[in-house]
Amino acid sequence: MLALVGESGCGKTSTLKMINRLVELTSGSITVNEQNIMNLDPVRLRRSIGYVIQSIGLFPHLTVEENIATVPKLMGWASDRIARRTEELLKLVGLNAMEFKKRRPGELSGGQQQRVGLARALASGPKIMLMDEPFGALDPITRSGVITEFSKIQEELSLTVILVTHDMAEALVLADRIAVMQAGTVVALGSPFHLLSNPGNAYAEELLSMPQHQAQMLNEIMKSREES
Amino acid sequence: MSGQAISTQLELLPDYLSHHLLLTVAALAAGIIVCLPLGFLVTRVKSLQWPTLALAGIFQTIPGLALLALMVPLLGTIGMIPALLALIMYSFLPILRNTVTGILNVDSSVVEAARGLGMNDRQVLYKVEIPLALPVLVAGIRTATVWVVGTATLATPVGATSLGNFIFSGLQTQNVTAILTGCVAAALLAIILDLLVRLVEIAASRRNLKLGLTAVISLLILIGGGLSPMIVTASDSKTPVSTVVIGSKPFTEQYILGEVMAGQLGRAGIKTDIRSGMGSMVLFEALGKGAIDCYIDYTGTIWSNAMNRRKNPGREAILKEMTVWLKREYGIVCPGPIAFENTYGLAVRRQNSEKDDLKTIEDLRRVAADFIIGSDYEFFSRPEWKALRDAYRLDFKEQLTMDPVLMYSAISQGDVDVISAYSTDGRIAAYDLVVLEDPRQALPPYDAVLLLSDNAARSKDIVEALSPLVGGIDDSTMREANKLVDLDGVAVDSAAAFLQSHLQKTLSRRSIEWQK
Repeated sequence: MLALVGESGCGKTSTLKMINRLVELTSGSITVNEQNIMNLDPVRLRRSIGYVIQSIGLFPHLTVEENIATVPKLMGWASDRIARRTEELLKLVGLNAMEFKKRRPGELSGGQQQRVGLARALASGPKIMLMDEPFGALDPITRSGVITEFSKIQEELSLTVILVTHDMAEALVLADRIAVMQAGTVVALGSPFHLLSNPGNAYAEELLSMPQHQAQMLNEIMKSREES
Repeated sequence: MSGQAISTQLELLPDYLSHHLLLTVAALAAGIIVCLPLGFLVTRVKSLQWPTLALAGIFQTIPGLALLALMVPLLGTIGMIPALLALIMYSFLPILRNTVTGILNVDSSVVEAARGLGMNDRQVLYKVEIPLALPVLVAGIRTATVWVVGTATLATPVGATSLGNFIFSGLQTQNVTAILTGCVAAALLAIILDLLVRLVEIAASRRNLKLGLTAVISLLILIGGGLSPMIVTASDSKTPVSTVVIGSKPFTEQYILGEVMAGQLGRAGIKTDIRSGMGSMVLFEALGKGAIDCYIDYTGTIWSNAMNRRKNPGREAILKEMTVWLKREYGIVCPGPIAFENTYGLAVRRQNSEKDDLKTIEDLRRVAADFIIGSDYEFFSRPEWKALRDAYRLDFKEQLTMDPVLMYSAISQGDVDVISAYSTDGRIAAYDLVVLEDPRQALPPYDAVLLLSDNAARSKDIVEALSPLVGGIDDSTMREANKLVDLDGVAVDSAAAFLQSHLQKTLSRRSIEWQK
């Protein structure tokens, strides 16, 4: 898993969208599975890559089941295969199939919606996932639960994931490699351990030290409480 | 008061309603077929958005009646086609605007997710955007439905039969039952169509096949049922080509004469179709093009308006010259005058006439600065008015345009002081008005004449059936017939029957020579 981090507007989302060609390249090249994406049909390309966004974008007029079945249906799967796959996916993301499959997105909590969004992105069994702040809109407790489950799923399915996030702690915990972006370019790239010990760039250093700063501040607050 | 009887009006309902329904449904169908794809296109090509919506907006700001009337000279024909085109244009804005708004308001993250999942443009449109925009889209269609049903009543003056026939003729002949019948029928039609469209929407959004089928079937039954009178008449007529189209202008006398012509032709076994309540010049052009086969006009009207002549060489000379000119320029045949004259005249209240000593239009000049003149839709824009004003150097305090029906009550209530009255109008005597003399002969004579299209004049049957009208109705008889409708509340067709029996009587007393 690669995490793209950096402040708003630095080009994380654009980079992600260039990979599935929602934003077209103006120069340079991107290869997916050793193929230049410019030589691939964008629609096919997108079906082979899972895509999860912060606002989720579930189809409000369709049930959970139908939302998850979107890509398999587009790919012309048989209906019993789709039904089996849907139940399997709901189970994978930790939702009870019988309870949830007939519901509409409007009847779900934020965490449940994001789980369905995840299931929908995984439906056709992609090996690559693009995730744009997938956990950003969740409350902290739901969020840590979903994150834990997701890392299990990722390991289980051995997914290649590119994750865009604001949250340095999330990046440090989840990612194998972190790319720090600033004004459209990668200013630092490496494993969390490598970057923490050797950021090589002032901006990257500041960004990566955020979780430590926060932890320090918390410690101080606790200390002052104890003293008083 | 047979004219006010609801049963008389209800007899006309199937015919008017079926035409109205055909007009409305055809216009809406065309509007939907054009605007939905156009709306989808416009959401994709942003640069087209503004011009398209602006254009649709312009159509909408043109008043319905004007848009309909504009279509006549633009298309050079009357009837269904110009009415349909105008109504289609009228349906554009609500359908187009709602389509664009509906699609653009679909949550952008949903659209992004759809594309990110690998839907192509068409799948995004059909599977995501349209279903989500459906309520807004349908709301546009429903607005258009209600507007088009209402506006279609204005198709009558351009020669398309509609529920407006009740309203226009009812207004002219002061028949409240007719007006109400037209209004209620149009309102009910609008409500029912609106409901059915709504039902289709509910069915689509709930994906309820049963409900959808019910809605679609009732819509089809409504359309089929509404159109059946037309289909029946169409299959009844063995030779539909030979249907004679009769025209009439929007006032009582013309409505009656239209019925008289229909009666005469019907007696001879000829099928007819009356286009009532049309404007003078629209009617004249239509006759020249053969879209109308016959109507009654007045020599002075043609002399001043169509021929653009200003001098008044006298009754005989005008008739002669006009007959030759009509034949030469348009192939229109004028078999001869009807024998009555319906001149424009300026009328004042008797008390004014006596108090201010008003006998001629010349006398009017003294008081014109204090007088308000009221007239019909046409008069102030006609050359005769200019001629009259110039000849007598009249300068009134104010001039008001109003419906002919309202002129008489306006003058008797003192809202206006002078009106342009028609000399055959029974209301001149009834409202105790005095028609002022025209010593300078600024106005030409207005002898009623029968006019036939080139085609109609070639048919011996048509000419023979209409020949009794020539020389058949004199001033007092016409005034009597008008009075029956305007003052006694008799139905137009009863007044027409009165004239026809009068024609039969005179016919047995004389034989007619045809001038070719």
